[in-house]
Amino acid sequence: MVSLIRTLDAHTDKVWSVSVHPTLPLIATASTDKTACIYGLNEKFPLLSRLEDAHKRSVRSVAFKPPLTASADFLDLPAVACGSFDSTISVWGIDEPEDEEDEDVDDEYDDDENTGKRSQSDILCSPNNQWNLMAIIEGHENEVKSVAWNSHGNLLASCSRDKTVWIWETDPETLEEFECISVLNDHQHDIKHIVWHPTRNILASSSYDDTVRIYKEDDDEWSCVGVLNGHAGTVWCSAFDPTLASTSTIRLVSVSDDLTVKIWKSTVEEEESEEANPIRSSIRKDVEMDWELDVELPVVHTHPIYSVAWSKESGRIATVGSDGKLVVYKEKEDGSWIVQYERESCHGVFEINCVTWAQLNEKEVIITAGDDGKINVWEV
Amino acid sequence: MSESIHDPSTVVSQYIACTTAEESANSSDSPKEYSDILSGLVLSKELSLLQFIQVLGPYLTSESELIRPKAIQCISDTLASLRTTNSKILSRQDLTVLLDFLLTKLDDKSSVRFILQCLTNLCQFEKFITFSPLLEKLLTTFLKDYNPKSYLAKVRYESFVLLKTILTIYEIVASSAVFDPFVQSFVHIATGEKDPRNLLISFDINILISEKISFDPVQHKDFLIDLFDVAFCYFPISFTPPANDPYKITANDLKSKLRSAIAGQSLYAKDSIPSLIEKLTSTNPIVRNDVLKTLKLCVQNYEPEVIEQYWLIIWNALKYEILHNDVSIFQPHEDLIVNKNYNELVNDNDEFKPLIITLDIVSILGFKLEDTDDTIQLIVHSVTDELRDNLSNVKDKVFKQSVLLVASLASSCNLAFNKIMDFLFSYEVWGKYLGNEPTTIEPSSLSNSDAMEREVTSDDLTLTVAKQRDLIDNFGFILNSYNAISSRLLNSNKAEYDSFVATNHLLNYKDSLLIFLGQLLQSSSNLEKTLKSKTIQQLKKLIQLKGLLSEDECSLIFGYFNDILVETINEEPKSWDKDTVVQEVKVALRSIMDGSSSKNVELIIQTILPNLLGKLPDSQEETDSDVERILSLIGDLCINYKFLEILSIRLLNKLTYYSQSNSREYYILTVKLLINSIIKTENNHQFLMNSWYKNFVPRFTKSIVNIVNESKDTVNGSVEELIEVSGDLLAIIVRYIEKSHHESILNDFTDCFVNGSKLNYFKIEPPLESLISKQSVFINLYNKILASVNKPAKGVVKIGSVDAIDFIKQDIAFAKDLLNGDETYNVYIHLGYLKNLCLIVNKYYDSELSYLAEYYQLIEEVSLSSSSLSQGFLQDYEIFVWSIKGLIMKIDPLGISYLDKLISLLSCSNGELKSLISKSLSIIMIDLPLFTNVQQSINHSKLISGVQSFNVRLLYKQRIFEIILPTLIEGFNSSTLSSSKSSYLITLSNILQNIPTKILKPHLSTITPLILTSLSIKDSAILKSSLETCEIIIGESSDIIIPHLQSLIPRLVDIVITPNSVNTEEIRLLSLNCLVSVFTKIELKHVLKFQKSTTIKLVQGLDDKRRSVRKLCSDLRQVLFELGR
Amino acid sequence: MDDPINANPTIIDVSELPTRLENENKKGTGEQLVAQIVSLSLLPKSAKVSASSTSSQVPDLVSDSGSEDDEEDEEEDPVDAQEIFDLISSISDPEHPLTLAQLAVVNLADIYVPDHQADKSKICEIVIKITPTITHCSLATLIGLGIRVRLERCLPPRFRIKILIKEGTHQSENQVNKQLNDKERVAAACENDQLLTVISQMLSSCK
Repeated sequence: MVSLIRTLDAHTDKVWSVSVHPTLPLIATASTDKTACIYGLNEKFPLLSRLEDAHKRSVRSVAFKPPLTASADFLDLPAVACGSFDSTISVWGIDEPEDEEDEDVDDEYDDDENTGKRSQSDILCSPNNQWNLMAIIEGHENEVKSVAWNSHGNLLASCSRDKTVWIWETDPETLEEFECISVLNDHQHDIKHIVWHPTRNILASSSYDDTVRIYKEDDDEWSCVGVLNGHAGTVWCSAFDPTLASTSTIRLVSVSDDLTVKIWKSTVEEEESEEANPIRSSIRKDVEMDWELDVELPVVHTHPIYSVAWSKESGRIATVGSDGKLVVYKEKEDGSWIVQYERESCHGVFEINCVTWAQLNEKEVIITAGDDGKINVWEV
Repeated sequence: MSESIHDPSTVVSQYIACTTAEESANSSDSPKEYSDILSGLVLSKELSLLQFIQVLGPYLTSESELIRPKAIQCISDTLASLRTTNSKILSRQDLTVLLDFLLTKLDDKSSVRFILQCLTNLCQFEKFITFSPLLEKLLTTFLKDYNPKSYLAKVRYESFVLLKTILTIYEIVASSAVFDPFVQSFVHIATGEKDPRNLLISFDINILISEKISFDPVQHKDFLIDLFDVAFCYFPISFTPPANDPYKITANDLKSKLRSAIAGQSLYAKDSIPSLIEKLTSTNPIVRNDVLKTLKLCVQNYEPEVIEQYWLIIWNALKYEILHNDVSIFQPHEDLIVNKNYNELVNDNDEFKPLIITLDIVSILGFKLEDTDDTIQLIVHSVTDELRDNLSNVKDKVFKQSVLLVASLASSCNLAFNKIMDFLFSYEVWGKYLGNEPTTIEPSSLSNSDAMEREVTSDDLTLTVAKQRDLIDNFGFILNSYNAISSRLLNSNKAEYDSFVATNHLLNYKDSLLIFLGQLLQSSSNLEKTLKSKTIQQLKKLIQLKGLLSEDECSLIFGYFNDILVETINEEPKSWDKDTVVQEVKVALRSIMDGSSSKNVELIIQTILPNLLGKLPDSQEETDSDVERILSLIGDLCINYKFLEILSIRLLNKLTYYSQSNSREYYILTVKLLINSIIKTENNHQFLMNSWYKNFVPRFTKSIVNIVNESKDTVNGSVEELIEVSGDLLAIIVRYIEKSHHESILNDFTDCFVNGSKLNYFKIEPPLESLISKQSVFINLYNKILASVNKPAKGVVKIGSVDAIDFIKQDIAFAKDLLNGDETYNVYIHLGYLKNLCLIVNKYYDSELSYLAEYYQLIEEVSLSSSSLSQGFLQDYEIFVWSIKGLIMKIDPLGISYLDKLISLLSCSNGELKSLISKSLSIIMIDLPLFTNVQQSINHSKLISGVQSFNVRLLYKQRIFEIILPTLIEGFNSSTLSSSKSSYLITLSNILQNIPTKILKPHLSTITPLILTSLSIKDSAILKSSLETCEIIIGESSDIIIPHLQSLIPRLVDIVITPNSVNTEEIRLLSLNCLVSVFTKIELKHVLKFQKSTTIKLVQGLDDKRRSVRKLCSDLRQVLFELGR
Repeated sequence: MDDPINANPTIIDVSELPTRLENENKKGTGEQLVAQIVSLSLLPKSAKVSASSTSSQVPDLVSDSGSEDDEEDEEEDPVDAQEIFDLISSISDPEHPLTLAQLAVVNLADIYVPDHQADKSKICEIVIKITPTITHCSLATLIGLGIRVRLERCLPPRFRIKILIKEGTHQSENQVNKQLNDKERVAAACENDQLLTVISQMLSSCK
């Protein structure tokens, strides 16, 4: 059963995008009102910060930098990137909190169950942290439609109506400067969305030209290694299967104007095999990945599907779109998919632009963003 | 001046002193005083001129730059006052000496200004004038020694004054010795002048010279050139007045002076005309207009001979202007090509204006040469020859331009007109289109020969619809030239007018023209509506051209019009009234009936009216006839009283049918039509309707009685409306009947309705039951008459044969006993008697109304108790209220005092009574048509019938309002109970609903707080009036509202998006209207901060149940989106 | 636009356009007068026929904001094709001084509104097919955008607006359709100032 547990009046206009921090209890939202917001992901959902005055137009997408895998004694500070219609990307982060903060904590936090020494996460998610603009990245000719960090946080990808995907390299600890290491212009149209594979440096882009394209690096040469043809309308969004992150099979789900949800499949040969294969270097071409349509999910939506999310925990898929429906798909043992839940008008009569999975005190929840300027949190 | 002997030297020193003082500060006594004394001394021979100068000596020779000028000024002033008193006083000797003295001083820079003044004065002395050598000397020396370059503007000004004075008083003959020096001097000082004031006078002199001095073109060639140059070198003059110009000189002053200077001298022509035409190449419309205006003036002022010389280059220039420009502003449906007062209508930086002036000049050009036949011949010949090809082919791209040119030329004079008609309608030009035979070319017709050579190919003749339109339009311009000439002659020279009307050559072609247009009208398919409309426009014009068409021809055209109407009505049953052609006919007929000759009106009545009336059914049984639209068409046509009279009689028959067949709808429609037509016609031109009382009123009244009796029993009988409209018709007729008849009129009606007598004026059989013996709905009809008849002389207390007091008694009696049965119907009758009561109290009853006291007693008692109100009490209260309404309307003190008492009762504890009082205020304030003197829709301050039907004191409402407003405000503020607070508000709002804005305005600031409070009261009635007032406040004095926006805007939005039993559709709309005014009328900076939030909140309004609300809501949002963009 | 792409289009006379505007209910002056008169009676019996409310007891000074409770059952005017037409017909063409209706770019017959849409909680799709004046009209997109902006401003959010080029009236029908109905594109376009200026120009003539 899908039930609404919380509504956040986040913005005064369309909310385009919502992102959840992989490890910290943080939500970020992006809106037509030219701002982005950072909320705490606990039953209080406190507004931690409003990121404003950086963009002249709508903020179309927002993405949290994933935490550093090799996070030793170094305190890994959260950061977000925002892509805007004003063709720029802004990067925001917090300063290292001093320990004195422990004293002047809001009572709001004190009457929390965890008194005494506060966890690192509490410090990083405290409303006292100032979120500052760290960088404005320029380069795209016009509207930036989506931004995404790779798993190591050293690569930031962005895409735009200018038909290109740019890949920026940065130091994931300092986020000092962003250097463009590749511009990919394989699409014939407007690119709507990009997403990284949860562990590998594989990038997928969805486009107005009805295709999804896959990119990979091959000795520091980024190139398009696969095209997913099959949708009969703009592809709005795609997501990799996080459950298979460590296996050699790769699955990608894509949603489109054509009301369909398609799952695509491919495999990558493991790195070891590389050495075992001397002639490999001579045949560049086999960086090409071959993708096939794995399965089509039951059609439920009656209007364009704008967003899809694949749960790491339960392996379920959630989709939302113009028809205001939230649909949750579940995979059966036999590999076929069934509609687990379907809920109408999740944002009243408004369209829903983005969906994502999250953890709210050990329970799995869905977060949706709508044209009504609201963020809704659902229990499933 | 005192008789005491003055010592000249002291006087002089005093003079010097005070002038110097005057320079520095203001001084009590003026120098004039002393100069007068001095001149007095000279006049009385106490002081000789010589002595005078000697006295001045020291000052004259003083070293001080300050003193010397004063000395000279002293001389000047003294001379001035001398010559004004006696210009003979100075001897030739004196003058010579003075002149020599002054001329020697011409080099004293500091004094020159006064020297020049002296000279100006000097040269006006009689002996100076009679002895010419003096002037000669003056001028020559002046020319030699005076150098304008070295002086300030105000000094130079004096030199102009000097020359102007000379020019005005002396006969300067070209041969005389002074001639050369004078002209030279003028050129000398005028050259290089820059100061606007000096330029004005310089141009003046130039004009004066042209008037007074006759030059010889050859001998004075150089002078003329110089004179022309000192003027023209400034053309086109542009000037922006300095901030604080003491002389208030405008750019226009300069422009027009310069213009007349240039146009003042025919002999300038050889320079002026070419240079002007050359300047015409400018692209700046202001310049071009200036040039053309000047050129126009030249053409008007220069000698005809000169124009004869130059017409060709002028023509070529003008022709170019027209042929190479877009001439879309010239509209064929207007009556003249060039509107008489275009100068006011179009301003000078309009790029179309040059075209207008150009055409104007063309016709003036012809007009100027009117009397030189052969030149006209020549001009017309070459013009037509030149334009022949453009004109002979409608498809030509400059066809219209060419037509405009010839048409303008044709409107210049009789001869040109005829020549051009012959040319245009000759076979090879337009004749071929009209299907004239080549033979119609008159032998006289110009260039006959080459016309023959040029054979007409058939495809010239086949015109596309578009081209036919163009042709028709361009006929229009030719007709305009006829109009121009005929109306000019009609006002100037009747004889010439007659001969023009009798002999003009358009007569020779009007037949073929008529036939051609007629054919287009009938043949052209319905699809070509524009063509038809254009044809109709020109036919209408033909009819209106003075003396062109015969009566038969006119009625022929009306025949066409009639056919169009009838056909369209038959062929397009759905949409005929929207049909553009029908509209066009309507317009045509209206403008013909308005103003023009009664003959045409007759024709229209004969040819068109019958057919339209024929379309009206005789009874409601006849279905599928659209009475409403036919009637409204007839109504649209009716603006002429002749037409109206006939119409009324014809419709009377219909009405009789309808009343017999009980076709209530049609009956009402027809009556309404008559009312509107009367109002319209009276507005157009007032006329008396005395005759109607005999011809119309009796049968009409009879028909009313008839249909009312018919309807009464039938269930769905909206008798009330019947009576109201019919009553209004009677009322308005009565109001336009000479007031002397009114008494008998009232008698007739009283006789019939009140006495129910058998042999009544209206021949109503069987006689009606008296409406004072039994309650009758006719009271309402009777009231209309009673209300509209002229108010009686003071002290008249009888209505017909009935005593006012009896009437009152009856009214009261009836008001107390209610009929039962059909609700509305009885209420209507009930109120009928109450209104009657009110009327009689107002018009016929002057003495104390004793019963009021008793009734007020009752009210007071009730106010003390809290018991709910009995039926009986309500009736008594009504009687009371209607009575005082009658009194209040004539500002009777008794009435006012009672009203005051009522208001004060608002603080009482009896809730029901309070709301009763509040409501009764709307009775007292309401304007029923019945109680207003003249239909508002009639915009005459005075009726010609002299009828003043009512004892309504002007502005009685204002008086009342101002008396009770403070009480209400006070009561509102003082009362603590929200219930009584709101009863004050309701009262106020009931009043506001019934008083005009202009009364309200001055009190807005007082009312605003109440209004804002009342916006949160759950009562539609209050909200309604509060919102209405609110909108007024926002519109009239937004500054009052600005401080409240913070609370007001959200409140209004709230009303809009919260529909419920209180916030009805009407309320929501009103609220939206307020918001619209807030965001459109109040300064941006105050409202901008509400833009976003309001826009978002209003989204809810977009889903309102009612379409009207949704619409207005989205309109408002549109405003908001564009706000500040 | 210096040199119009379609110099001489065919024009429909305004009077011949279907509209609901201003021909709303006009009651006979006579009837109104009678109603007015009758409303003047102070007698309770006449309360039924009286026009203005004769509230016998005085209402309280209470704000009614949000009081949906006594929701008056006014009858519903459902949104219909005519209403949509009236909203967009008076938008003026970017290159002619004429309205879209006059140019027959929008036609009543090409507006589809489902009948059952009274339920304000349900999404409802409206389809509008526009007919460009000429098949290669490069302004088709702009016109479509203008219409969309107008409707998005005037219609409640529950409506999904679909704007299509009428079949076979434009060379690149599909591209235009796709663009006109791409939510994101439209949103972005509406933040482009030049474009917005042109559009508000077009909308300025809206009645």
